[in-house]
Amino acid sequence: MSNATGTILRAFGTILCLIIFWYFVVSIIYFVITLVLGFEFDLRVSLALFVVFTIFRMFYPKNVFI
Amino acid sequence: MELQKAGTGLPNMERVFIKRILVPIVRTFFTWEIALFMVKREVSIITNLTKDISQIDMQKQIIIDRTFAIEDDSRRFSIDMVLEHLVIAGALVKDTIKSLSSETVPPQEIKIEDVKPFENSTEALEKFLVFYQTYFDMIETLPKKQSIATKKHPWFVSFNNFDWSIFMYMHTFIHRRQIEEIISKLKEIHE
Repeated sequence: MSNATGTILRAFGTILCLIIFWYFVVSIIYFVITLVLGFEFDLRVSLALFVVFTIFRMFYPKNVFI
Repeated sequence: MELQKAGTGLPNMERVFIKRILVPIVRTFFTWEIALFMVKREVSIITNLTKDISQIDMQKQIIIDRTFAIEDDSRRFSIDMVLEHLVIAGALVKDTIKSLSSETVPPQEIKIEDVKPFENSTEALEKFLVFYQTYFDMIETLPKKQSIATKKHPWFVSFNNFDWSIFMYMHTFIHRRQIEEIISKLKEIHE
């Protein structure tokens, strides 16, 4: 494997780790809320919350595409 | 081998990939703390990579294959030159972050040619470690507020103070990979 390919793979590996990290952060908060309010943890809801969180991060505190 | 001159920039595909894909993704998932943690990790990796290399090898300039996000001219750097470049460019980034944090745009234009190494000094590693410690100290005491003021990177888009702190990580990472490639070529020479 070339150094350049290795660098790109490492960059995506880092991003993947961050995505997993933020998914766990969102899911743990959601899990605590389910315990406090006494309803069931739903995987689809946790994924939906993560998508909402990601979209929120894309535009606040600044638009990441500009 | 004839290399392109300093300031030529990255191949267009690579530049667009970084500008349109990598920059938005890292902006989304990084925080000040994550960026600082990652820079510290890179400095630790570079320290470990270079600790057993002789001074002669540290200063030896060999042409390596192009590595990702490094312009052609930088392919002939020695390890000491890479470290020197990290200090020169890092000092500029550090000043830019500090300035943007007080909503002041640094007046001078950032030029790639201006951050090229010129000494190939034996003290490069020591200077590198001292500089990065000052960078860590500055970021740790900086109010973690994203600035409205921005400063354009010559290859990419306009960055605010937070974006420059992520850039500091990406830049150190890219050059750590360059050091790894130089070490691998040095090993080939010694075999």
